[in-house]
Amino acid sequence: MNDQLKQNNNHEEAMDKALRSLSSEIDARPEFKSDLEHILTAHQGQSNSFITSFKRALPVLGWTMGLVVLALFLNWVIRGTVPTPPVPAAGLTITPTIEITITPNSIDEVGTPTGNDGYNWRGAKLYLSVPLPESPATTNIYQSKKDQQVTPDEARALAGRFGLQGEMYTAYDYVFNVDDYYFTDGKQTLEIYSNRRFTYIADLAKAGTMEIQFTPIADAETIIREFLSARGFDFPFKITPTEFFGGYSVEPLTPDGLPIHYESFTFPPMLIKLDENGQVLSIDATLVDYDSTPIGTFGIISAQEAMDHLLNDNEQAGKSEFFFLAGGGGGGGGSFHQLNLSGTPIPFPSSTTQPNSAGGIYIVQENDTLAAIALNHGVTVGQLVQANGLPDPNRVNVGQVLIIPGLEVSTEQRVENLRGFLSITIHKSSDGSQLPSYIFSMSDANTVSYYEIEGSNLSELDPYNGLPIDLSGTIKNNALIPTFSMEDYSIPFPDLHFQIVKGTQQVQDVNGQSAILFTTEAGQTYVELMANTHQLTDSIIGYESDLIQHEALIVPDETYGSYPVIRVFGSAVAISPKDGQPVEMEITANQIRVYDDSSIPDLANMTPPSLTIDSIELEYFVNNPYYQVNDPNYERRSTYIQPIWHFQGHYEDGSGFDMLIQALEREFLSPQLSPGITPG
Amino acid sequence: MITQMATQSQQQADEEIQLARRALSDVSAFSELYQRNVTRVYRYHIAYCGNVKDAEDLTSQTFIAALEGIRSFRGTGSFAAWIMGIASKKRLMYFRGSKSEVPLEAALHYPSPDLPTEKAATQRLQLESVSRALRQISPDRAEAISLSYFGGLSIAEVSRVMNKGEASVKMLISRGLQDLRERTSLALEVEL
Repeated sequence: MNDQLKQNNNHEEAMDKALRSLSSEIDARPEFKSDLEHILTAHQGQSNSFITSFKRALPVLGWTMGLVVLALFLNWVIRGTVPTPPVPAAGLTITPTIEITITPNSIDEVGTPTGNDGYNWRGAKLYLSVPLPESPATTNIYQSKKDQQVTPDEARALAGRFGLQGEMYTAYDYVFNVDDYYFTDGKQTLEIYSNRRFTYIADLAKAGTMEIQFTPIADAETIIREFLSARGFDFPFKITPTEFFGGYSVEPLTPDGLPIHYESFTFPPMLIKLDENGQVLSIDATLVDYDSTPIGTFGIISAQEAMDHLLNDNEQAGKSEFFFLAGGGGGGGGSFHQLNLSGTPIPFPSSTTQPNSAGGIYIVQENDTLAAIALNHGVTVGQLVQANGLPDPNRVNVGQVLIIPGLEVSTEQRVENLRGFLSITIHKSSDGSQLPSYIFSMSDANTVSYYEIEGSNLSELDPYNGLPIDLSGTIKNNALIPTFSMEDYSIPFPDLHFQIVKGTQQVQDVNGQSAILFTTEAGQTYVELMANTHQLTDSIIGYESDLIQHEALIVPDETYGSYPVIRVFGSAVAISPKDGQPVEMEITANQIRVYDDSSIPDLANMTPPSLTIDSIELEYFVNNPYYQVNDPNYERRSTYIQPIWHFQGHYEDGSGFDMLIQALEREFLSPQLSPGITPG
Repeated sequence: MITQMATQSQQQADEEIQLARRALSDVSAFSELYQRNVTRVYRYHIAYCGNVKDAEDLTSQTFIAALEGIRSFRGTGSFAAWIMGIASKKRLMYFRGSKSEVPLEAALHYPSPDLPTEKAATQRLQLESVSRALRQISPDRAEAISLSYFGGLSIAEVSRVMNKGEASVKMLISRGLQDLRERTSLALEVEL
């Protein structure tokens, strides 16, 4: 018996080797590969090539917002140079840093109404094709609840509503580390996390074609209503065709009759696709669970006030903007204020209410105390705490950007020996020239700030790519990416190098956060941080306590809790589970990366198209609960279902426009922004 | 080579998620994703259909569908697993309408054009025998083998594409390897 088993294993191993060897020798014909690539890129060119989309996007957005969004795009590019945590990650929102880089003089005269001629906005015209609606003085706020996974019986019951009986499988969702329930009859499939969160496919083979061409059909609403009603979905809802997602958005109505909307770039509560015969092809459901008894009734702003906010580019907080390119694709971002339902209004910093006398900023340095900062700037500690919404006045982080209330706009800040990380990239432009870019990044637990280093002897820094660096000089917040005019630098650890470290991972609470501890083969235990940020890692490679390896940087003086820190730039298992062979990892984090910027368009030669607002509606908003399962930031996100003014429109070139304006009266808002989720 | 692909580092996976985001609007990002993944997709297809024409056809269809569907990539799993999921669906459809056994054409092109003729001939025979065997064994075993060895996916990724637990994927692969051994002469050389 044992011999038989052993022989089988040998046979398996031999087959394993043979297959691997065969597979590694297979390659497609080079001409086929290059032909297909040309077809694909040409194909993409028709609908959403980078050039057309970016050329459209920027004028669409106008100069100011265009710059903000470009900053977001660039931010993505910069973030691309370091491994970033998988979604859901810390929000890429318009941070206060970016907000205050927009100096008032760089902005067109804000939203001048010119009667029937529309508004002057971002260098173009904005028209209203609908009147500003009347609105109630108040709306409800509801409390959303974290969704709970169904029991097997509940899963069977839901499957039964779709006519799916028979065996129930589990489908492991390794992103959220849960087992979903899975039903199929060979044609239909249903994957269930909960009664609100499931994916139904009516015809697996047809869904595989993934046709995106979307043309709304006249009786879609009837078809969808009948389909859902026949399957026991009896809640009231609103149906809207959405070209961006290639289907119909189903938004449930709250008891007071307003639809619930998520971030415009995420899947709607239900996304329903129809096939070419007008039959339901798929349903992606991520409905929000909430208490139908509101927690209260709160005053809201009028549509006119929301319109004023929309037009005011000086005030980026409390709104979220998105553009949908005519051929597909889009972008945008924004952030909402956290709610303050305490009954005691929190004063807003003057910088957001009166942009022309906005306060300055100050970057916290080592050994600073809030009291000292306040004293030096002639303000009180209380004002600082208030202006920045600091949760703990005894704790500010080095590198944190503080808003100093009541000061003249200060766009320059002299700093000494500021510790951050160096990251060098090379940008290739269309004329073939290569421009190196030296980026200095600093981070705290929530945000990463990037500065472009300026100076005459930057190439001296080349050997230190990826390493910590102490910079002295002047920070200027006047450009797309703030610049750091370098006067002096020192490399605190010139001999520090990236290394491949083998060890095991273990999840443990450190300082109240769920951290991954990494114990090397030599027995040293570290807390893992994500590349050159202050974010804890959240990926277990393989299973907990598997022997794995990190491409890592261990900066001698860094600690987290009582542990030293290991910065993780790449990971792999140490031993391949397939063949038992060691897996080789290479060090790449110290290499200078090259980006092809040749297709970035010329900002100066663009004419913004006009924008027409086609609908203005009062709706409810809540963060898309898709990202709630195992979301480490869940508790920090707003779980309120709150009123918004939803402006939808189109640009004259056919692109779509979507702006959500937080509708609560300011007394119910906090100056602090709520963490958002990244478009993507 | 395969080992490397199968254990694609977190960094590569993260890069690909970034690329997929940029690919919404950036043609070069999609090209980059294409270049990184075309070989695995092609290998996966040719392993099953056993001839160049169908493999190229399916590879094209897979990437065109990926391009059109890139918006639905939520970035919640690896891009490799996502594209192999499309490849898998494409293959399913491709063979659904046709006879259960696709006749092996006399392949005009060798699997890899740069190999010396003699080796290439052996390789073609091996490939033919593997793809024939893959079409004889249970579809789930064939799928797990194809995704893992030819698509270069990790067990976790195969489990995601196939909607099965990792343990059951490992089981399928193990059984599949035994099936293949019984039906091909491929392993004999190595065993001797």
